[in-house]
Amino acid sequence: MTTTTTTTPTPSRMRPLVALANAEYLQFRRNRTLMFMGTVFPIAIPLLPYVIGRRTGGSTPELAATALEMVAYITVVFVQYYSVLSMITTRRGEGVLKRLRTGEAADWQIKTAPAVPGALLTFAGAAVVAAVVYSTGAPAPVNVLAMVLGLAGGVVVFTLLALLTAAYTKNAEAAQITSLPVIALATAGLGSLRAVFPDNIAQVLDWTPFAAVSDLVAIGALGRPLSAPDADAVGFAASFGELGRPVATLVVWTVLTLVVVQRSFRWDDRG
Amino acid sequence: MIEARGLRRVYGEGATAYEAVRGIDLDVTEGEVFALLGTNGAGKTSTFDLLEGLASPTAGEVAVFGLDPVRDRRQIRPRVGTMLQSGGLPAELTVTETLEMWRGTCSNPTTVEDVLERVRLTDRADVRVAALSGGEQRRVDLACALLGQPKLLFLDEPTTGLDPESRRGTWQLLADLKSAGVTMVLTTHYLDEAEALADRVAIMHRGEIVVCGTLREIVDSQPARITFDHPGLALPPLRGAEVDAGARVTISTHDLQGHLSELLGWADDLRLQLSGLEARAASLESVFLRIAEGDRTSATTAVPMGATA
Repeated sequence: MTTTTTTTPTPSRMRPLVALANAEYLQFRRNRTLMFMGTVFPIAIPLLPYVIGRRTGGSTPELAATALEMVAYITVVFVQYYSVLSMITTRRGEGVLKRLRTGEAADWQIKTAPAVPGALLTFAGAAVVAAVVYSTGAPAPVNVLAMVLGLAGGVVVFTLLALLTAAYTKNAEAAQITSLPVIALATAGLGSLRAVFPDNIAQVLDWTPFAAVSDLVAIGALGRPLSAPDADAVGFAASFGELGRPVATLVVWTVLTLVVVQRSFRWDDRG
Repeated sequence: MIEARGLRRVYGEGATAYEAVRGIDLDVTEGEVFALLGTNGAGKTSTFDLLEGLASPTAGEVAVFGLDPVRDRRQIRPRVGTMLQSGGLPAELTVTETLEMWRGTCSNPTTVEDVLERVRLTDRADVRVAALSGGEQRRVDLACALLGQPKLLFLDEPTTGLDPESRRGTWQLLADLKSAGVTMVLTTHYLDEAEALADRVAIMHRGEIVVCGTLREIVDSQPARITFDHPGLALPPLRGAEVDAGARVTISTHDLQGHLSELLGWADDLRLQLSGLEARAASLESVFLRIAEGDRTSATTAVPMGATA
């Protein structure tokens, strides 16, 4: 067979992603459950213990770090991971993924678009909680960059974990079950929980994705991980030396999940 | 424009493996409308998936615009419009939002207003897709396929669920596209649709193309049939005459007029009234039904598989 070379108009590379993400946002906005989970839930849950704790012990750095860790946990696990998993399985069941693949959007754009509303709400929710925390007397954070890095890394890894989970999730209802291992693993990565685990288990959990997010957020807010209550808090410059393991953890998980997603992702329920 | 050789598609592995497409060959030339017909489960949609690059063949080769539809997807897509068999539209978006989304993915799009007018859905622009009838959803799907101003259209059952008026409207739209030089590959369960639109037709059965050719070639290759109740006398010596258990005589012939004249002459000579006399030329429907009933032998001998116009 012959091969011909042709030129076709080249639109902006990001234009399809913007169009798809906008459509995803419109659908997200019309889903009341997702909107509640994406707005009220991640702001109210972290602020409630913060307000109560502040009344009794004042705005300590630990209290601020715990509130910010909680907002990171709720947003990357429930707003990002769970909503992307739910949206991907629903779109696949409706044939939308296969239909979009017949068009000009690249595969990565079709997979990424459902992650955009959750990612925006993650950063918006974190910004609101941080604004409340730091405007009500909490000491200034040690390293804001570490906090942003933790949140951004969490969004990326948990989006990939959602795409991976979708490969063995039949529909949105089944996602309630298939999501449990990732949710459990993320919960075990909370700093306060790792602090009470035996050392050998805690050391393994340190290498899980949410533990890395938690550590980056806590180092940024407090100067030490919440899982190490006895450690000395470090300053801005020294905090960069503490970022190695959590950043490496996020990089390793990103690469691993990316490879598995590339091989296992299903565009169509038919297979 | 499309060349396929020895295409195979197998789902699953081992004991549960299912071969949906079994080594088909086909060619679609520029500007023609090619209809792929077949019974349910014949392999039409699986064949479409291979031609569109949505799946890689288990074996064989396919080229669209001379390119590999899977590997060269980015180069092919701007010139192709696709309408899948069902679904594929986000239920919670309005018609306009759906088309705006799709338009945003096209490199050379026409306007949303243009395609809405062409599929006659302008008055439904602000209605959510979930609230549309099945036929209207098909028309939105067609509008998406047209947004990128394609040179090649894949249409998987484009008029399923449409009322007769909408079907005619869609036929006219497709005829206009053909006049504008757009090549089309379509599947349909409506034989009259294939007759009205297609330059060439292929009929699939159990993963294989059983017949392929122009409508005239296919119909001419099949015998006409003359049937009547047995009169109880010795029949004239007409070739191809058979009598079934219900004493019904069937004559299969490629010379309908000659055989019918001979039969009527014989009956006139004997002053005989042939009760239940029917004479039917072959039709696409009769060919299709014979294939569907598994009468492959008579069908395949007439027009070779993979024949081109």
